[in-house]
Amino acid sequence: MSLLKVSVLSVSGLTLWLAPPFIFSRKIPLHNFMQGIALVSGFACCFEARRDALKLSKAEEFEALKEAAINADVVDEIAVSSYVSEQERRTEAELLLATDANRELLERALALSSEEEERENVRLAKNADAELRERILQLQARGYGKAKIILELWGVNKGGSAKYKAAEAEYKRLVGEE
Amino acid sequence: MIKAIALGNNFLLTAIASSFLCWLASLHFSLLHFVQALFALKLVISISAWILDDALVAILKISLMQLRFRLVASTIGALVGVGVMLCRS
Repeated sequence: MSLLKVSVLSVSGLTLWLAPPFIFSRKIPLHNFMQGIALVSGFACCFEARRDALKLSKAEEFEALKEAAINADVVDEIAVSSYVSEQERRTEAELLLATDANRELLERALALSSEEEERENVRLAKNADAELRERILQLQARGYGKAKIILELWGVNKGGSAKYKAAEAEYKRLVGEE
Repeated sequence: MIKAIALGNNFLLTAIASSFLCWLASLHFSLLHFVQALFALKLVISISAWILDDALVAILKISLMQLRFRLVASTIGALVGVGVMLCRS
Protein backbone atom coordinates (compact mmCIF):
# COMPACT_ATOMS: atom_id res chain seq x y z
CA MET A 1 0.00 0.00 0.00
CA SER A 2 2.74 2.42 0.96
CA LEU A 3 4.76 1.51 -2.11
CA LEU A 4 1.69 2.20 -4.23
CA LYS A 5 1.21 5.54 -2.47
CA VAL A 6 4.85 6.48 -3.05
CA SER A 7 4.62 5.49 -6.71
CA VAL A 8 1.38 7.43 -7.27
CA LEU A 9 2.77 10.52 -5.54
CA SER A 10 6.00 10.34 -7.56
CA VAL A 11 4.16 10.00 -10.87
CA SER A 12 1.78 12.82 -9.87
CA GLY A 13 4.71 15.07 -8.97
CA LEU A 14 6.42 14.32 -12.27
CA THR A 15 3.22 15.00 -14.21
CA LEU A 16 2.45 18.22 -12.33
CA TRP A 17 5.99 19.40 -13.02
CA LEU A 18 6.28 18.52 -16.73
CA ALA A 19 2.75 18.78 -18.10
CA PRO A 20 1.64 22.35 -17.27
CA PRO A 21 4.54 24.22 -18.91
CA PHE A 22 3.81 22.43 -22.18
CA ILE A 23 0.00 22.61 -21.92
CA PHE A 24 -0.63 26.10 -20.56
CA SER A 25 0.47 29.32 -22.19
CA ARG A 26 2.58 31.68 -20.12
CA LYS A 27 1.04 34.68 -21.86
CA ILE A 28 -2.40 34.02 -20.37
CA PRO A 29 -2.37 35.13 -16.71
CA LEU A 30 -4.69 32.35 -15.52
CA HIS A 31 -2.54 29.71 -17.27
CA ASN A 32 0.56 31.20 -15.79
CA PHE A 33 -0.99 31.13 -12.35
CA MET A 34 -2.06 27.50 -12.87
CA GLN A 35 1.50 26.64 -13.80
CA GLY A 36 2.70 28.03 -10.49
CA ILE A 37 0.04 26.11 -8.58
CA ALA A 38 0.94 22.89 -10.46
CA LEU A 39 4.63 23.34 -9.66
CA VAL A 40 3.91 23.85 -5.95
CA SER A 41 1.60 20.81 -5.97
CA GLY A 42 4.19 18.74 -7.79
CA PHE A 43 6.82 19.80 -5.27
CA ALA A 44 4.49 18.82 -2.41
CA CYS A 45 3.75 15.45 -4.03
CA CYS A 46 7.45 14.69 -4.52
CA PHE A 47 8.24 15.83 -0.99
CA GLU A 48 5.59 13.51 0.48
CA ALA A 49 6.70 10.65 -1.77
CA ARG A 50 10.30 11.11 -0.67
CA ARG A 51 9.30 11.18 3.00
CA ASP A 52 7.24 7.98 2.65
CA ALA A 53 9.99 6.29 0.66
CA LEU A 54 12.55 7.06 3.36
CA LYS A 55 10.15 5.81 6.02
CA LEU A 56 9.61 2.58 4.07
CA SER A 57 13.34 2.22 3.54
CA LYS A 58 13.95 2.53 7.27
CA ALA A 59 11.21 -0.03 7.97
CA GLU A 60 12.83 -2.43 5.48
CA GLU A 61 16.21 -1.92 7.14
CA PHE A 62 14.60 -2.59 10.51
CA GLU A 63 13.02 -5.79 9.16
CA ALA A 64 16.37 -6.86 7.74
CA LEU A 65 18.05 -6.16 11.08
CA LYS A 66 15.32 -8.10 12.89
CA GLU A 67 15.82 -11.06 10.56
CA ALA A 68 19.59 -10.86 11.04
CA ALA A 69 19.07 -10.78 14.82
CA ILE A 70 16.79 -13.85 14.63
CA ASN A 71 19.37 -15.67 12.50
CA ALA A 72 22.11 -14.68 14.95
CA ASP A 73 19.95 -15.97 17.82
CA VAL A 74 19.48 -19.30 16.05
CA VAL A 75 23.22 -19.57 15.38
CA ASP A 76 23.94 -18.65 18.99
CA GLU A 77 21.48 -21.26 20.25
CA ILE A 78 23.09 -23.93 18.07
CA ALA A 79 26.54 -22.88 19.29
CA VAL A 80 25.39 -22.98 22.92
CA SER A 81 23.84 -26.43 22.50
CA SER A 82 27.00 -27.77 20.86
CA TYR A 83 29.07 -26.18 23.64
CA VAL A 84 26.85 -27.79 26.28
CA SER A 85 27.11 -31.21 24.61
CA GLU A 86 30.88 -30.74 24.41
CA GLN A 87 30.93 -29.93 28.13
CA GLU A 88 28.85 -33.03 28.82
CA ARG A 89 31.28 -35.13 26.81
CA ARG A 90 34.16 -33.59 28.75
CA THR A 91 32.43 -34.35 32.06
CA GLU A 92 31.88 -37.94 30.96
CA ALA A 93 35.53 -38.18 29.98
CA GLU A 94 36.53 -36.81 33.38
CA LEU A 95 34.30 -39.39 35.05
CA LEU A 96 35.96 -42.10 32.99
CA LEU A 97 39.34 -40.78 34.02
CA ALA A 98 38.18 -40.86 37.64
CA THR A 99 37.14 -44.48 37.06
CA ASP A 100 40.60 -45.12 35.65
CA ALA A 101 42.04 -43.64 38.82
CA ASN A 102 39.92 -46.08 40.81
CA ARG A 103 41.16 -48.85 38.58
CA GLU A 104 44.69 -47.73 39.30
CA LEU A 105 43.98 -47.89 43.01
CA LEU A 106 42.62 -51.42 42.57
CA GLU A 107 45.68 -52.42 40.57
CA ARG A 108 47.91 -51.03 43.31
CA ALA A 109 45.97 -52.98 45.93
CA LEU A 110 46.31 -56.11 43.78
CA ALA A 111 50.02 -55.56 43.42
CA LEU A 112 50.32 -55.17 47.19
CA SER A 113 48.46 -58.45 47.76
CA SER A 114 50.74 -60.16 45.19
CA GLU A 115 53.76 -58.92 47.11
CA GLU A 116 52.28 -60.45 50.23
CA GLU A 117 51.79 -63.76 48.40
CA GLU A 118 55.36 -63.60 47.19
CA ARG A 119 56.55 -63.05 50.74
CA GLU A 120 54.46 -66.06 51.78
CA ASN A 121 56.02 -68.13 49.00
CA VAL A 122 59.49 -67.07 50.08
CA ARG A 123 58.62 -67.96 53.64
CA LEU A 124 57.32 -71.37 52.50
CA ALA A 125 60.43 -71.91 50.43
CA LYS A 126 62.59 -71.06 53.42
CA ASN A 127 60.60 -73.51 55.48
CA ALA A 128 61.07 -76.17 52.81
CA ASP A 129 64.80 -75.45 52.79
CA ALA A 130 64.88 -75.79 56.57
CA GLU A 131 62.99 -79.08 56.36
CA LEU A 132 65.35 -80.37 53.70
CA ARG A 133 68.35 -79.33 55.80
CA GLU A 134 66.87 -81.10 58.78
CA ARG A 135 66.34 -84.25 56.73
CA ILE A 136 69.91 -84.05 55.35
CA LEU A 137 71.26 -83.73 58.88
CA GLN A 138 69.21 -86.72 59.99
CA LEU A 139 70.49 -88.80 57.08
CA GLN A 140 74.09 -87.71 57.68
CA ALA A 141 73.65 -88.71 61.32
CA ARG A 142 72.61 -92.14 60.13
CA GLY A 143 75.85 -92.28 58.14
CA TYR A 144 74.45 -91.67 54.62
CA GLY A 145 76.78 -90.28 51.99
CA LYS A 146 76.06 -87.51 49.51
CA ALA A 147 74.94 -89.76 46.69
CA LYS A 148 72.65 -91.71 48.93
CA ILE A 149 71.13 -88.58 50.44
CA ILE A 150 70.48 -87.19 46.95
CA LEU A 151 68.89 -90.46 45.95
CA GLU A 152 66.79 -90.46 49.11
CA LEU A 153 65.63 -86.86 48.92
CA TRP A 154 65.49 -86.05 45.19
CA GLY A 155 65.16 -89.60 43.82
CA VAL A 156 68.07 -89.20 41.38
CA ASN A 157 70.88 -91.76 40.93
CA LYS A 158 74.46 -90.64 40.79
CA GLY A 159 75.64 -89.85 37.25
CA GLY A 160 76.15 -87.05 34.79
CA SER A 161 72.45 -86.33 34.21
CA ALA A 162 71.12 -82.80 34.42
CA LYS A 163 68.68 -83.78 37.13
CA TYR A 164 71.45 -85.16 39.27
CA LYS A 165 73.58 -82.07 38.75
CA ALA A 166 70.68 -79.82 39.77
CA ALA A 167 70.03 -81.97 42.82
CA GLU A 168 73.71 -81.92 43.70
CA ALA A 169 73.81 -78.12 43.39
CA GLU A 170 70.76 -77.86 45.66
CA TYR A 171 72.36 -80.23 48.14
CA LYS A 172 75.59 -78.22 48.14
CA ARG A 173 73.63 -75.00 48.61
CA LEU A 174 71.79 -76.42 51.59
CA VAL A 175 74.80 -77.98 53.13
CA GLY A 176 77.03 -74.99 52.37
CA GLU A 177 74.64 -72.64 54.13
CA GLU A 178 75.00 -74.43 57.37
CA MET B 1 13.85 -0.25 -5.11
CA ILE B 2 12.40 2.05 -2.46
CA LYS B 3 15.77 3.78 -2.03
CA ALA B 4 15.90 4.37 -5.78
CA ILE B 5 12.44 5.98 -5.59
CA ALA B 6 13.63 8.20 -2.73
CA LEU B 7 16.69 9.26 -4.73
CA GLY B 8 14.53 9.91 -7.80
CA ASN B 9 12.23 12.07 -5.70
CA ASN B 10 15.25 14.02 -4.45
CA PHE B 11 16.16 14.73 -8.02
CA LEU B 12 12.56 15.71 -8.85
CA LEU B 13 12.42 18.04 -5.84
CA THR B 14 15.53 19.88 -7.02
CA ALA B 15 14.25 20.08 -10.58
CA ILE B 16 10.76 21.27 -9.57
CA ALA B 17 12.29 23.85 -7.18
CA SER B 18 14.46 25.28 -9.93
CA SER B 19 11.48 25.24 -12.33
CA PHE B 20 9.45 27.11 -9.72
CA LEU B 21 12.21 29.70 -9.39
CA CYS B 22 12.22 30.11 -13.17
CA TRP B 23 8.45 30.57 -13.10
CA LEU B 24 8.89 33.21 -10.39
CA ALA B 25 11.56 34.91 -12.48
CA SER B 26 9.13 35.09 -15.38
CA LEU B 27 6.61 37.01 -13.28
CA HIS B 28 8.61 40.19 -12.68
CA PHE B 29 11.90 41.75 -13.70
CA SER B 30 13.09 42.27 -10.13
CA LEU B 31 12.26 38.64 -9.32
CA LEU B 32 14.44 37.63 -12.25
CA HIS B 33 17.42 39.35 -10.60
CA PHE B 34 16.54 37.69 -7.31
CA VAL B 35 16.40 34.23 -8.93
CA GLN B 36 19.64 34.90 -10.80
CA ALA B 37 21.26 35.79 -7.48
CA LEU B 38 19.90 32.59 -5.96
CA PHE B 39 21.32 30.47 -8.81
CA ALA B 40 24.64 32.30 -8.51
CA LEU B 41 24.64 31.59 -4.79
CA LYS B 42 23.88 27.94 -5.48
CA LEU B 43 26.75 27.80 -7.94
CA VAL B 44 29.16 29.34 -5.41
CA ILE B 45 28.02 26.93 -2.70
CA SER B 46 28.41 23.95 -5.04
CA ILE B 47 31.93 24.98 -6.09
CA SER B 48 32.90 25.65 -2.45
CA ALA B 49 31.49 22.27 -1.42
CA TRP B 50 33.42 20.59 -4.25
CA ILE B 51 36.66 22.30 -3.12
CA LEU B 52 36.10 21.78 0.61
CA ASP B 53 34.82 18.23 0.18
CA ASP B 54 37.09 16.71 2.85
CA ALA B 55 35.90 19.13 5.55
CA LEU B 56 32.25 18.67 4.53
CA VAL B 57 32.61 14.88 4.60
CA ALA B 58 33.80 15.11 8.21
CA ILE B 59 31.00 17.54 9.18
CA LEU B 60 28.13 15.78 7.38
CA LYS B 61 29.51 12.31 8.25
CA ILE B 62 28.96 10.93 4.73
CA SER B 63 31.36 9.36 2.27
CA LEU B 64 33.16 11.41 -0.39
CA MET B 65 31.32 9.53 -3.11
CA GLN B 66 27.96 10.40 -1.57
CA LEU B 67 28.88 14.10 -1.34
CA ARG B 68 30.00 14.21 -4.96
CA PHE B 69 26.91 12.30 -6.07
CA ARG B 70 24.69 14.80 -4.26
CA LEU B 71 26.51 17.79 -5.72
CA VAL B 72 26.34 16.42 -9.27
CA ALA B 73 22.71 15.32 -8.87
CA SER B 74 21.61 18.71 -7.51
CA THR B 75 23.43 20.56 -10.30
CA ILE B 76 21.92 18.35 -12.99
CA GLY B 77 18.48 18.64 -11.35
CA ALA B 78 18.70 22.42 -11.28
CA LEU B 79 19.82 22.52 -14.91
CA VAL B 80 16.99 20.18 -16.00
CA GLY B 81 14.44 22.30 -14.09
CA VAL B 82 15.70 25.47 -15.76
CA GLY B 83 15.76 23.68 -19.13
CA VAL B 84 12.15 22.57 -18.81
CA MET B 85 10.97 26.13 -18.09
CA LEU B 86 13.07 27.54 -20.95
CA CYS B 87 11.61 25.04 -23.39
CA ARG B 88 7.98 25.73 -22.44
CA SER B 89 5.65 27.34 -24.90
